[in-house]
Amino acid sequence: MTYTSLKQSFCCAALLVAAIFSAQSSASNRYYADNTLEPTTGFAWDWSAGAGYYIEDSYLVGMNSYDVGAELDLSIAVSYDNFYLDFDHNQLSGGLVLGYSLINKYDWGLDLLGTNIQAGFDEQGLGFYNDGIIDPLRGIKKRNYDFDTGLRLTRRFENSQISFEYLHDISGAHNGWVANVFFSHIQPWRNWEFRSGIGLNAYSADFTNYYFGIDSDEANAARPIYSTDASTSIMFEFHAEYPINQDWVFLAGWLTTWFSKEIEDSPIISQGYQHKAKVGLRYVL
Amino acid sequence: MYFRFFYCLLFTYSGSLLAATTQPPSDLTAVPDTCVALREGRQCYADVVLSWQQPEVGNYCLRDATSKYIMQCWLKQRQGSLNYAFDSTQSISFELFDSNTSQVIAVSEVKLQWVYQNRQKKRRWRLF
Repeated sequence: MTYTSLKQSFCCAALLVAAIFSAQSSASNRYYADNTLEPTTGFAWDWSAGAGYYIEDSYLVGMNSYDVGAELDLSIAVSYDNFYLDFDHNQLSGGLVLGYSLINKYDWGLDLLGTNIQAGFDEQGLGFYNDGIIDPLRGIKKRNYDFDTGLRLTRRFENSQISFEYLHDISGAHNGWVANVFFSHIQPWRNWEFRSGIGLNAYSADFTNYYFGIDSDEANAARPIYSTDASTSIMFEFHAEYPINQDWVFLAGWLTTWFSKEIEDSPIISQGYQHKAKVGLRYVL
Repeated sequence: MYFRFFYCLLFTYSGSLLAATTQPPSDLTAVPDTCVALREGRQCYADVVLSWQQPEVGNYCLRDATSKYIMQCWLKQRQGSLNYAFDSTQSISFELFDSNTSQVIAVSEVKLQWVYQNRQKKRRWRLF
């Protein structure tokens, strides 16, 4: 095992162990104001599970423009005092977040957090599709999932939240930084709940070139060498939830991301946007 | 001793039977009888139909059992219904009463449930 991979393993293990074994928690869903777990002393957890049907239009070349399928949604929030682990699939923008609440006062929050920003992919595309090698991607090197740590500053309002994050990769994947600002709003209407959010992400040149650059080993006649600068993206998401009964919730969601030309111009990118929509049911304990 | 206990039981049972037969049937129904909100504490909305029927023609009124607010009255009727827009953060009971005697004849309730309870109350589990 190399020193880098040892270091990566140690960092991930340390965060996991800290999240599980350290000792008032304010764990939160990353982007929305209402999912804050109420402060508690000791260990606490919360979960929901469901299944949905999605349709996705990916930006990678060779990927089916309208990929459809079923997927399981599992969301788990675990907290122990100020530490928390939030595996969130309630929002399309969700994911795994490990965090530690440094400050939580007067509607302001400052958290240390670790999370995955970018999904890895290889010549088979995004890993979970398993459709075999995609011709336009044949011969590219594997891009690993990253794991980024940094700070998040949050200001909560009654039904809205704005957050700022600055994160740096510690997995060794791209060793770059990512910064984002995200504003979300929750709007109840009768028994429905509508959740919407808009975010602006900035990616370092290291990040952008790791995932979207093409080096000389990967270049071919149809795929020229590509090197670029820092990039940006804008994301918009909308979710609707409706209670069917005490245990089951209907949900629908839409996520669109638009990418700057530094990403859109990459030879392994077919378009400057991605869409994902899904409908499903969720069981809540 | 045991006989006394037996008679006591029998008397109680027959007493409750007697009470059941003399108690007016609950002829007030709410459909649906449950309103489900997404989160605890949030307003719940439902279009509820409150229906009643009585064996005898009379003057009847329907009211909120807690606030005693009279929602509607019927004159010389033995059945009726009301479309009620349920909009509350808690369960609501309704009473049908005879407007001549003020005697409550039937009671029904629309219960409020929610999916996401306050987490510390229901959905959080403490190990230590």
